[in-house]
Amino acid sequence: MTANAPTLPADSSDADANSPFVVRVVRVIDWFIPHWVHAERTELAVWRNFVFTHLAGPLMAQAISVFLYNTDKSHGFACWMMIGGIWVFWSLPLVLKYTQSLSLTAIASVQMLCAASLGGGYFYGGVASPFLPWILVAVLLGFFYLSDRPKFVALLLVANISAFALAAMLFGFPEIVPLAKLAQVGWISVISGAIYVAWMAIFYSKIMSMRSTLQRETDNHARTAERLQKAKETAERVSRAKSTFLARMSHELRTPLNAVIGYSEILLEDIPDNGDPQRRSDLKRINDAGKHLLSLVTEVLDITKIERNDSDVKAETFDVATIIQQIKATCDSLAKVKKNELALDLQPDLGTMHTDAVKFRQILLNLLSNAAKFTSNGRIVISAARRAGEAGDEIEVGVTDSGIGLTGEEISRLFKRFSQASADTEKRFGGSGLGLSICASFCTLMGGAIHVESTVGKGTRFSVVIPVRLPAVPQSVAPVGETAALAN
Amino acid sequence: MTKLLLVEDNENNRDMLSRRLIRQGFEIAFAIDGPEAIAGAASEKPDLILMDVALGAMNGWEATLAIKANPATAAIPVIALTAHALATDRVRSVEVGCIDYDTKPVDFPRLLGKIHAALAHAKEAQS
Repeated sequence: MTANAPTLPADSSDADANSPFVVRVVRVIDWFIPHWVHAERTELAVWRNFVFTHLAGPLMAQAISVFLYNTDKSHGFACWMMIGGIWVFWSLPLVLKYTQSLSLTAIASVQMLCAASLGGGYFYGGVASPFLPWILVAVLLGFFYLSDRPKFVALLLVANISAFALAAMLFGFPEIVPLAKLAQVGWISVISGAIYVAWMAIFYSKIMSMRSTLQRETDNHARTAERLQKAKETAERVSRAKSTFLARMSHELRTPLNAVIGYSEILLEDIPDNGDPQRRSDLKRINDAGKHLLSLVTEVLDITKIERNDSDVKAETFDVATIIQQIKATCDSLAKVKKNELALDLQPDLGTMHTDAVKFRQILLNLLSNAAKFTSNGRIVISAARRAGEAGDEIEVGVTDSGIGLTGEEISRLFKRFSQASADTEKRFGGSGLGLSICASFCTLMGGAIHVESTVGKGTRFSVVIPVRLPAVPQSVAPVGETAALAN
Repeated sequence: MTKLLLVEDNENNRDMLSRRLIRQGFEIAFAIDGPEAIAGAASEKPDLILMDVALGAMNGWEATLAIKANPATAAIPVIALTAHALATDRVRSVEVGCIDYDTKPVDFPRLLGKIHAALAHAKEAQS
């Protein structure tokens, strides 16, 4: 029995590697164990051990029953109590199956073992009884299976031993069979007790090593997580330092570049129309190179600005109509620069939003500023409506202008960083081409989206749809400032 | 002759831009920081102010607010020159009372167009 005992498989995949006999035994044992225990390896091993010892233990103890029956010819209450008690142990795996509580069943087991050991001791041989060593098994089982409530186990044992002592003091030991005649039963009882204890000790050391492996793995995971956290912090610090450095550098570079571009233009203006063509083309190259360099530097500065400031989202509750009216008031004079009329078309039931007001404002300012930039002597309308979306209400804000409009190809390039609708746009209107890509990132951060429809010469309509409640899960945006823009 | 007040703290830029504007027939007065710009607006009585926004301690927007707050200089149109054309910069420029804005480095023909438009607009407002 002890041969395969300590290698009782901890899970069914181990069982597959064992002999068919062990597999069958494990299958029988598992019949008593509720399904949810199988999720945890160590726990399952403990449950299996309980069932196994409560099937095999009583079987082993049948030898005691037989020899006791032969020894105690009176076949009185004490004899049948011992034999019956040993049989009752077999019911415990069933108790376990139907109560699904290992601690409850273990309490029953410890109590029954105390009763059998001390009761047997009381009737057969007193303090010198061969049944008394089993009290050590009860101690072992109690503290093992009920390790989470040692006080209770101690109390239970003390109560049982006290009862034994009290009975001995009050009534003395009955000595149904003289001690000398108990030698055979004694041998069997002590040997099977020793086997039982050995089994438990081996099993206990196995469980300990399983738990310490688990602990080591947990520690390793914790250390790895810590290392990752540190690496992440370092990376973020380096990234911030890089951004600050780039911002400072690009700012420092702009001023001399302004001079290079400006003075080369002055010299170009100085060359008379019939002047030296070689000289003109040389100056043109200096000027072009300066402009190119400047645009690169500007891009770097703008990227770093976004990288540093704009990826946090802070939600607050605000009234939609009020904020739109404020934005309109801000942009009134901006619209007038090119003699545009700025109008509102708000639905009455806009209500409130709980999202990032600063970003919401910035998106609208960007769109309005764009509309004002590309429209003259026209009309710009801010419209807003509330509607039901997939996950709660959404606010749709539209900015419609009667400006120059966009071609399909221009629209496709619109939200890319640093790309304006066309190369000509920058020449005519200025700007770095960052505004719309910022709008798009902000919309994504707030769980929304931005759309555009446009007809060349007729005008453009940008519409932004944003949930009224900021989504709980942060929305990831493609890392701001992809270096691809810098590479070309 | 039309007089412009050029507010710019960088000497190269000041020299370069003023020379180009003088060639276009403007008379140029200078200021190198915010307080000088406010004083210059009052004493020089320019027809238009070109205001660099990045000026150090007192930025161009603050100087513009002060100029617009003074009734003697409030009518002078101000064109802001910002380093970036981020919408927030544009909006801020117009918020403080600038009639227009342009980005640095200056695209000279474009800036000239804006100067003439602003002057025409100011004249219209006066008459």
